Amino acid sequence: MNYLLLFIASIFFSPQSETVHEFHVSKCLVEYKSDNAELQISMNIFIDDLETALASRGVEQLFIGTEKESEEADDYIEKYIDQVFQIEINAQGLADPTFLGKEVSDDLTSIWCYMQIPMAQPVQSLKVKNSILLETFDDQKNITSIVGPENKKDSFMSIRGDNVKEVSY
Amino acid sequence: MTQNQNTLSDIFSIYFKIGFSHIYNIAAIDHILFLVALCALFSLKDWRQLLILITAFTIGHSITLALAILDIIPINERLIELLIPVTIMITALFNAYTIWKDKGYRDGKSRIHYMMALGFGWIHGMGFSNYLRSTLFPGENLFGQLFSFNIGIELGQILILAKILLLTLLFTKLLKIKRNHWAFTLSGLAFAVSLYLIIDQL
Repeated sequence: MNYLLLFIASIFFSPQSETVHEFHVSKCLVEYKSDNAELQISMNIFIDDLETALASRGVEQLFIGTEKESEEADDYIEKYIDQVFQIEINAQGLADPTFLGKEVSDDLTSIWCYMQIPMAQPVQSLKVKNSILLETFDDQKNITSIVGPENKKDSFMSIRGDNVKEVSY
Repeated sequence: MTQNQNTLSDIFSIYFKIGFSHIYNIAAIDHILFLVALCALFSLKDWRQLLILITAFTIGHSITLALAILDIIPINERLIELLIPVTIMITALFNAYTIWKDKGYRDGKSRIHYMMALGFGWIHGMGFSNYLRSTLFPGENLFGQLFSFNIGIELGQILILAKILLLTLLFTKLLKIKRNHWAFTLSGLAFAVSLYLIIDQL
């Protein structure tokens, strides 16, 4: 019950409160496509959360997903994702995903980012680190779903201090 | 076989945690306050009525959660966020009326309470769906996720309920606060915060 008191205190001390979405989640799908010999990655992130994270790194005024979106927005997003989302394939060091582009969700609150990693050999193991927004929000949760060969599925949830998953096939 | 089992247990543990932390969390103050208002008139000895009450709420929110996630009913997020504090407010006012009408606390026999739990459960279920939806992938078979999320919500709910009842026990038995005064205090608190939540959105 102490959180009730906490809440009441926060009413009086917080100058403004968020009412839109009070939860922090992102989701990411990593799919192995043996036909194209590649890994396809699609990632869904709330725009306001992403902008908060970028602002804390000194990048502001991007207006992601709006008409006045900055031309540099994609570069900054790509750079950010590169730092917080990493994949190691067949234990051969960090892969370097190609950023294909992004799309704003139907309700305009989030973006889908698409990436791709070409694969020289069939996948034997994957190590995925998904720490998107974990340093920005202490209640951030990232769901990652990994679809390997023969449709084998693994899912994991990243929270602070626990954000890596290894799978082998 | 083991592959499927792995996936299922992954799904269960992820969506159970998501459900649990969604309600057992300060950010879920609206759902928590609804539970506070809903059981303000009940004590531990009324556990049978409480069981019916909480089951009614669960049935209510499970139905709309599933319908919303399966895209059978459309969700207006802003409207739902506004309606949730309204459900708290009505429940709190109804408690005050019950206390006044009965000239003091009598165990919450009222059928209206069960109806409120069910009907308002529909609204809260639509609220839960906004959150669950943002963790789901397009084209997935959603049964496992829905089921696990619901179990997580349920456990969180039961824990919150247990805390409220414990607090009720503490204040009424140990600190000798009159039962109807205590019920009135809880309802007043729920009313005040729901009013704030409504004004905040206008």
